[in-house]
Amino acid sequence: MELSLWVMAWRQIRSRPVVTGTTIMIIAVSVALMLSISMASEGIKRGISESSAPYGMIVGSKGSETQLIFNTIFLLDRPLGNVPWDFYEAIKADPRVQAVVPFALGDNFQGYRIVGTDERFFEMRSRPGAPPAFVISQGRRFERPFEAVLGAKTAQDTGLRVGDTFVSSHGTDHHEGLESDEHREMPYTVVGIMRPTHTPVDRGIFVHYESYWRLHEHESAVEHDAIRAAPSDQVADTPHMLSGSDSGDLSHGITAFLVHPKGYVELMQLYQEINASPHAQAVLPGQVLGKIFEQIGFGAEVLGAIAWLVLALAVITVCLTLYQSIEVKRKDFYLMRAIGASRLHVFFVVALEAVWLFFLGELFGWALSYVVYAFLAYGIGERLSIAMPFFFDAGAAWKLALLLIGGLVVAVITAFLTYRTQLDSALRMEAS
Amino acid sequence: MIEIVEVTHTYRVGKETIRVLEIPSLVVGPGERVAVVGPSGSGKSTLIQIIAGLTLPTTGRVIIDGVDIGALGESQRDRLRARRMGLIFQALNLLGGFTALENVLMAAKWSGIKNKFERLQAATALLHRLGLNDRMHVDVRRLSHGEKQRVAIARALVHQPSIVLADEPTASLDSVNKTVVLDELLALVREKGATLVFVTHDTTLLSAFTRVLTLGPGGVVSDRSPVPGE
Repeated sequence: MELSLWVMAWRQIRSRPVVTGTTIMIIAVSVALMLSISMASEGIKRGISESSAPYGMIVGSKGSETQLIFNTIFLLDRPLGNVPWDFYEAIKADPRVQAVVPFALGDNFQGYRIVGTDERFFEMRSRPGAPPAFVISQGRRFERPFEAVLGAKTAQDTGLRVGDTFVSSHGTDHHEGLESDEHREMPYTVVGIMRPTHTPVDRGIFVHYESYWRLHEHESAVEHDAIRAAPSDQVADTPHMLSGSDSGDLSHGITAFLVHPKGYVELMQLYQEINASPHAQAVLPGQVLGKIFEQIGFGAEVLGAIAWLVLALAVITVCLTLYQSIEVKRKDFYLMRAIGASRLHVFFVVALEAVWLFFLGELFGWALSYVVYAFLAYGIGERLSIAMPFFFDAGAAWKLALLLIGGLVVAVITAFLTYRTQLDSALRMEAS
Repeated sequence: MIEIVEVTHTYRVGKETIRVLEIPSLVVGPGERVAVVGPSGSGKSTLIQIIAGLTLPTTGRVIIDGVDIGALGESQRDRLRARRMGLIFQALNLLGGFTALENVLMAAKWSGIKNKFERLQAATALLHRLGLNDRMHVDVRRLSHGEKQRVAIARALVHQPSIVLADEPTASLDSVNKTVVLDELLALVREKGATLVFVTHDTTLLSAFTRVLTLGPGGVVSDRSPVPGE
């Protein structure tokens, strides 16, 4: 058994477990706060980037480009108005276009959004040459209207299986018990369930866009009959007027579509031409997300600055704790000197105590940051289906190193105070 | 050998200067066992600290084995103390959080015994000798007071010092432990041929020493051999 200075310092801090535990906890929580903020910011960016990877250029009606992106890719927010079908057909037929994928939104089942699209949705890839992004794990793709393919989380949460039927509700939000919103006459049959993608697609229900058309043509006919039969003063209260952005007037168009041009030049030409037209806007998700990331980044910077302040407070607290413990341990240091330890021995023992505290605090803080991140990732995944991936935060290394240097400074200061005063004050204490 | 020449020690309390020790001349030869007695405040503990070099006298010289410790730097005094002296106190004796063996090994290491095996052998042999073979791996905070003082003796003697300085090591022990601790200390000191300076209030112990030094408020009151039966 060899008592190195490291072991001696370790035993010293272990001999006062409450103070040591509290000090380590203060450092750990501060470190975890600092690291988890930057990790969450980076994780959300990565999650959003991964979710939007299969989407090239999105075309939708004029309005908020952020709303268009959030509605089409993240299945959030409300849909903008519809793009005329003729316009969609014209872009689809454009020789500069390699592929288009339509999206019709506006209905839901228990809050899970129903996305009208076509078979080309299943050919979308995160990049050229990559395997298809969305793969069926059970059953098959939809082949005709009113066949539905469920996202993995939708299937898990609703309990629907292949062969089950369900009726959709009008609108993007689920209104419990409002049967008048349901399209009871035209139920969907589940024909397939997708493999988890850890993207918002997991929370979607994918059907052929013609389902939307038929459903809303039928509703229009019913409403038309109802309007004719109803007294004129009740017309305004009749539900499902299918007009305006919230209803998504799908019988005459689609909500948005994805465009894959043949090349970069074609992409830029189409982008400019579509935005110049009165019918639609073209949005590049990367650009819009870049702006969002800037906002996230700014928020993270503010939070990060606060976290650094908290950390500075933690360092000051540790400094005070160490100084106080030196006062308490002054007798021990005197004894060490009396039995042969030099001033430098005591200096190093005190300094290494601080190093231990910072090292353990940082280690636990680093581990805790991943726990906090896991909770955040779970919460955001549940609410937004943005999968925040686990990753090694290389940026954490320099922050931890910086803090350790700060800890060393604290160590040297406290050790120097001990070095300077230990024997004289110990003797004064003895004399008293 | 310890030589003290015209040593005084004072300290200030506010504007007042208090003289706690005054020894014009004192020589303690090799192998002598000196008991230092006197009332509280007569400077017994200060004498131990000055001989150990833990504090320097206000005036005068302290010479240890021919070396004037006042002429040494602090680190040189540390080295001299670590190699040639062993210290035992009444309380404040052992480092909590460390086992009995570790406390002894610490002193062995700082005394300059380079070989790890030698240190371990010396420490365990002494602890065995002092009847602590089954307590050597116990945290010293869990030892009885008597056991703690025996560990302190082992720690003071593990490096075979030429001088052992003991500041009331038996003061808080019961009569049985007092006898055991003193007997063991004296036996070991005799075996090693070390000089012992032993501060005590207990006049019933004086017959075990070769010399009795009595300190009083004005300095050395008497310097004599113990009276038989003391």
